[in-house]
Amino acid sequence: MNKDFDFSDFLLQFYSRSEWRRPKVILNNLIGRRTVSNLFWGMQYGLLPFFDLFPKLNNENFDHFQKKFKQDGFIEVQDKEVRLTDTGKLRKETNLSKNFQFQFKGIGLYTNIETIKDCLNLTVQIISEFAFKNNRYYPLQYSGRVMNFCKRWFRQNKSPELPNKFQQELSEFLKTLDNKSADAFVASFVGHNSFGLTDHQIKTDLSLNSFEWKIIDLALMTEFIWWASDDNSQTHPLCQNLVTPWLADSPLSMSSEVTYQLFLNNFSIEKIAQKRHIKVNTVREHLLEAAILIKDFPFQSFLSAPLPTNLHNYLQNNPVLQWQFSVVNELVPEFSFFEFRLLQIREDRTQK
Amino acid sequence: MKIHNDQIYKTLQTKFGFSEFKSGQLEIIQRLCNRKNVLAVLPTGTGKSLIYQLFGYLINRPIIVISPLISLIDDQVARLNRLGEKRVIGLTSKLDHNQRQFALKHLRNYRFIYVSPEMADQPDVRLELDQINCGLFVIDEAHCLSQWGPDFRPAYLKLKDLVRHIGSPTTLMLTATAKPAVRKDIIEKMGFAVSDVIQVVHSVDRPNIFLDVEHCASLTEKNEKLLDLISVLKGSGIIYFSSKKIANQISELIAQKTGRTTAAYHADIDLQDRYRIQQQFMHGNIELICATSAFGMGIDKDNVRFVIHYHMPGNLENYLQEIGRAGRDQRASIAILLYAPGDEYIPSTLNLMGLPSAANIQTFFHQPESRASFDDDQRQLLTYYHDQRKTSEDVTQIFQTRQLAKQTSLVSMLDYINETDCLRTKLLAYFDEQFNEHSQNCCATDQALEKIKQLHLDTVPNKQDVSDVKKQLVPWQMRLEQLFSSKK
Repeated sequence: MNKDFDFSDFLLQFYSRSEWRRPKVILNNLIGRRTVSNLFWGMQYGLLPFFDLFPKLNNENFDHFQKKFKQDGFIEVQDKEVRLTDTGKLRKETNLSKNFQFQFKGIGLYTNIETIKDCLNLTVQIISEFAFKNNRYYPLQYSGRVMNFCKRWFRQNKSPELPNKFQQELSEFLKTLDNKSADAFVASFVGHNSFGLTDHQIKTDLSLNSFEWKIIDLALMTEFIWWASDDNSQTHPLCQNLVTPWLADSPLSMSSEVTYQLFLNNFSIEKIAQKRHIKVNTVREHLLEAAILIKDFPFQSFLSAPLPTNLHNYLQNNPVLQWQFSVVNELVPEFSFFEFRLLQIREDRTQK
Repeated sequence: MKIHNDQIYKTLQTKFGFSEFKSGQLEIIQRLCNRKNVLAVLPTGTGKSLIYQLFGYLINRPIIVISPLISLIDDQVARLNRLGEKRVIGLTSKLDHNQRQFALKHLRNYRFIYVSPEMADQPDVRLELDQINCGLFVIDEAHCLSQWGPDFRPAYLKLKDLVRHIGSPTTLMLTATAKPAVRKDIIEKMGFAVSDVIQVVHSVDRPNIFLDVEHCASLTEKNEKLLDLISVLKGSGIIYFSSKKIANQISELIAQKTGRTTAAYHADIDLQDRYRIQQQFMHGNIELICATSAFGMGIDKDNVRFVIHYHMPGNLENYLQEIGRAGRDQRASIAILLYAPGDEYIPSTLNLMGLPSAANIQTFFHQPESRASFDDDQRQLLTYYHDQRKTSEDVTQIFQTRQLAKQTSLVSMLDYINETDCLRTKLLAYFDEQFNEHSQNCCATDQALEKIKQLHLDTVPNKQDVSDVKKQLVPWQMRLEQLFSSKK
């Protein structure tokens, strides 16, 4: 099966032969819908690294792929859940190695890649025209936020040396890539009398299909963002100033981050709710988000007491995704759903 | 306002770099200087925007320009930016809350304010527009005011009140095509008496564009015909389609079979790529564009030698607008329409789909809870009539009339396709113009290949605008030098 790697192959990696999974969770993670339930299941399905990478994907498109999978005999459907067939599993494994080439490290939890890409494109155009002393040109048209940001950035950094400095910084980044990737990364830039190549032209030149180029493009942009934002050595302040204002410090939503910081400062759940004028349940949701996304989340703060033996045995004897809260609730009525979810998250972490 | 011609010409030179006006421009500017309202019908490519832009520099007060589409507004803003004008704003939904507040607060500082009719109707926008001492109120694509035209937009009807609300500034109504009945309707819908408005109407004819219709027996024959034409025609061209998918397919087919550089251009192509395609086309790096009607607005390319319609448009207004992108340099060019039986099915279906059915109108009026389920365009349309206190019967009647008008336009388009005599006479008659100067350089049916030779459109044009930019990846070091190093 020597077919090109396309979006359907990319999607197949999130299905399993052994577990029934919910396609809606896959869609919601790929378009960056941030709810605790989506994040929790996204973690289970291995989706978090790809969170918000395809914000323009819509229901209709996504359903089209589901139907195609079913037609091709790759999946079986039961209620609203699906599972790979043997054929589907084989297909998934054929392309597995290709999927692993791309390291997104959950960048979509921190930023919107497209926005930074727009900024980089417009900044390159502005600096290029400036280098040729031309102030009469058609600027690329992006959202007002991006256009204003770039104008401000340019005003702050404008100097005769700017083109040269910016070129040097970009060169530093491009040296970290292989030559072909570096050539592709700069091919689409628009500048003075130089209009860049379209996605179609680049993928044709590289002999790739549209999706292969799309995902490589996303991966290269991700590399750039991580490189630009990590500047301990202060070698590329211009790129850093371009990228970091769009990048959150934490993978949590702003509100969850506030809750989590209060919690780290020893505020109880009730106190946080009171202080922030939010419901206790909302605080718990925020903390679950933190448990899913923060590496060193202090689980022991909530799960310090040893589990009753009957509960311990039940959990030991069943895989984590098959734990049922209804069963747990019968075994130990005072055990809350919040604690149950935390336990699941901790267990998932330990296993990985 | 007393302004001498010297000053007008000086502004033309300093702001736009031209020493001569195109036909109609100066006359209209002079009328505006005398505070006369003007309805100008000038064909595509005759520099309509320059009229109010130049007037803006003369009067030195903010100019409000009503424009129907965000993409048109973006394009106009970018063009003014390119002329070095910074004091220009597009008030569109692309602005976030803060930017919108900032823009509204500083509205009087902008020289040119572009706004859609829907946005102009919002209370906070209306309020600010009233405060700026507007120097000229411009309605671009003014035919959208007419219920008898194919592009009617109900929000345009509220402009009448807006103009009064902001103190009745001098008003300029611009359009590329409008028959006398539509012109009368535009003036009435703006609440002017016919005697209040000076009409400057230029012929819609473009004599340097040869007209041809090719009748094909089947789709296969149409594709073969297209490839034959493309193989013979030299220079830049645009091929129009009704379907994005077919535009993609034919673009690939042309590249494979003829080796010519093509690109598909439509709403699914993202904004950056549209920009690249437009620029590459303008500079001759891409020779052919396979486009839907989305293409053309940002294009100011003089030497487009041919426009081919793979699919027919729904009316002659659009046809004229689209073929008008050929031959702006006044040199010989050709417009070819490929027709196969059944082609009228697409525009006919589009006409029927565009408007809500009688049953849907009933539901909308009588079950308010259903309104959320209507698509945006239909909801906007129906809400407008609802707010105007029309009944569902009135609205059904209005839409039936409009649908009939659209179907009538389509029939006129088909009449043109089936014309056995002079195509130009037929086309101009639709716009109530007479023409009786048919010659061998005017038009023909089913003779495109011979006529291309006769017009010398099969010879390589001068290559002066073809730069040596390759459509392949270049080493990144070289690319960075191209972009940032002016000392080559």
